[in-house]
Amino acid sequence: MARQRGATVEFRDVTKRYTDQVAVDGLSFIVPAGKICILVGPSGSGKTTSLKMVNRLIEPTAGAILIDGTDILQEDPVQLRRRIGYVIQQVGLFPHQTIEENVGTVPRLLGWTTARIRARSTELLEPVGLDPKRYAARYPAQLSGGERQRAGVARALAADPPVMLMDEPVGAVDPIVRDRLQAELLRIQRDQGTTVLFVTHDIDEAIRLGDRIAIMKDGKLVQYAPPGELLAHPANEFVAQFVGSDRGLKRLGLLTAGGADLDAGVDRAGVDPRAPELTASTTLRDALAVMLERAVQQAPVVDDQDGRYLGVLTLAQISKMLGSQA
Amino acid sequence: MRPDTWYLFADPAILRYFASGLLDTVMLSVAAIGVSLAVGLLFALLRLSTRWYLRWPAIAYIESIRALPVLLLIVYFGIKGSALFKPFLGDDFELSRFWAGVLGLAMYTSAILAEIIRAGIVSLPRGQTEAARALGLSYPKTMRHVVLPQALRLMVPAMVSQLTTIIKDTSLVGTIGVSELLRQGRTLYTTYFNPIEVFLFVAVIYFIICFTLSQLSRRLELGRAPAAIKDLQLRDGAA
Repeated sequence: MARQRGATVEFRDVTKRYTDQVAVDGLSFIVPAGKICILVGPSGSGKTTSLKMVNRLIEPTAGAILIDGTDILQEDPVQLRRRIGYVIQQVGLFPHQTIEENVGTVPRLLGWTTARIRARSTELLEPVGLDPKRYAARYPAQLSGGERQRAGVARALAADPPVMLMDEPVGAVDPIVRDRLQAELLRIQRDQGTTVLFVTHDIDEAIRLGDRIAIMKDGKLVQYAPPGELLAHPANEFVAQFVGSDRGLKRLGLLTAGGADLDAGVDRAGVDPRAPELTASTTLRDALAVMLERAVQQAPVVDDQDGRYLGVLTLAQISKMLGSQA
Repeated sequence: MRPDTWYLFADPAILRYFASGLLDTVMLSVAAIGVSLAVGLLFALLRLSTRWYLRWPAIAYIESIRALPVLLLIVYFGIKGSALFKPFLGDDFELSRFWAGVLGLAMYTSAILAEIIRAGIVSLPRGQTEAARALGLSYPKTMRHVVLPQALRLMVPAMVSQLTTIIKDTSLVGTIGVSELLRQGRTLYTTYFNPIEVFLFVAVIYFIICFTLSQLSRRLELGRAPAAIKDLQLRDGAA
């Protein structure tokens, strides 16, 4: 698949005012090209409104939104939207069209030939895990919730958009499917290099998927930071509460055994034989869990690829990293 | 004791006489249905407009016209139709009784259809329009490719019941002198004094037309994945 660069998205002092209330208040932040930015906050915090202003489903009252430096308000909304993928929780697949027709909506608008549209939908269904032979001719109602969500993603990707907007795209499916979908979204996003703005109210999802997290409250941006920094240094009491009292543990979920200050001086043979062998990419959170389960103080860490012994990880080190505010 | 007149219905001349009436009934129906569908769709879209200067006239038209009896509209156009159009179409213009009837029927039905169509459109989940717009479909394309194909299918039952009503209401156009089916029958029984037989015969013809139409509409409803639409809507609504 063609590897293409995402676009930079910038909110510049964006405000959306309705007659009786302010939905978004002076929002400013920049999402670097090819990154995933998660907008998270309680309901009514203005995150969905902010998202919909990017493709002008909602027009801002004041301020500017720039994609690769160009003010979107100067563009024709119809042209703008064809360059921005949009995935919503309700999926919004057209029930009277087959999956192939749904995925081919934008190419059809762009005047592609039938053969080219068919080739493109085949090309799009595969990466989202839908076998084109089985699914192309089906109607949305013949698919499960998770499959529909995949088809929705495929449709949003149809025109190679440099920017994707997602509004709780995995909110309506069960936890197991959700985990898989999240992983697939991440993989597709990395493959395509698309810039993603992603709305959720689930802080765990935000930490798992985000390169940056924008925490919103009452239409205002409270904190904008990478997940690790957010967990280590919540800007205020609201953020601390929102990320949860277990934020230390969550942070361990972002750190890997390979990244810890391993003690390479300890001989591999001298390690407690009950201790599980950890790979360098194991998160400290998982490492902690297995070490507590086996009741060991230390565990050997090996390289993911060649299995080379790197040193031991001790509970004391994990505890130290949990406490560190760096 | 009334003489038995059933033999009349085997007479080719009488049958031709009824056939000409049936032809008028069918032509009136087809013309009125065509005009009212087009005008009804237009007023439905106008009523859904966000612009007040489009919406308000549409509301005024729909609400006032559907509060009037169809017969009143038909008679009005039968009497005043020609005078009404003369300022626009020249002094020689003469509105035929046939078209006066079509106008009366279509005016009333378009107001009813406008409401049926509007209800069908607003009953679609909002995600559908939003998804279409987000994909970069313009308003006309959103309507043509996404909203109307779904909404029209949902409207089929209500629409067909209204269209069969038109067919039956063409009998009112007989009052302004168009020789449709029922008027032909009336002329016949005033000659032979056999209203029961005539009404029975005419009723059977109306039944055959309307019943056939409603059966056809059932097949339309069962056409391309209608259950799929309802199913998805339920899920969308729940999400």
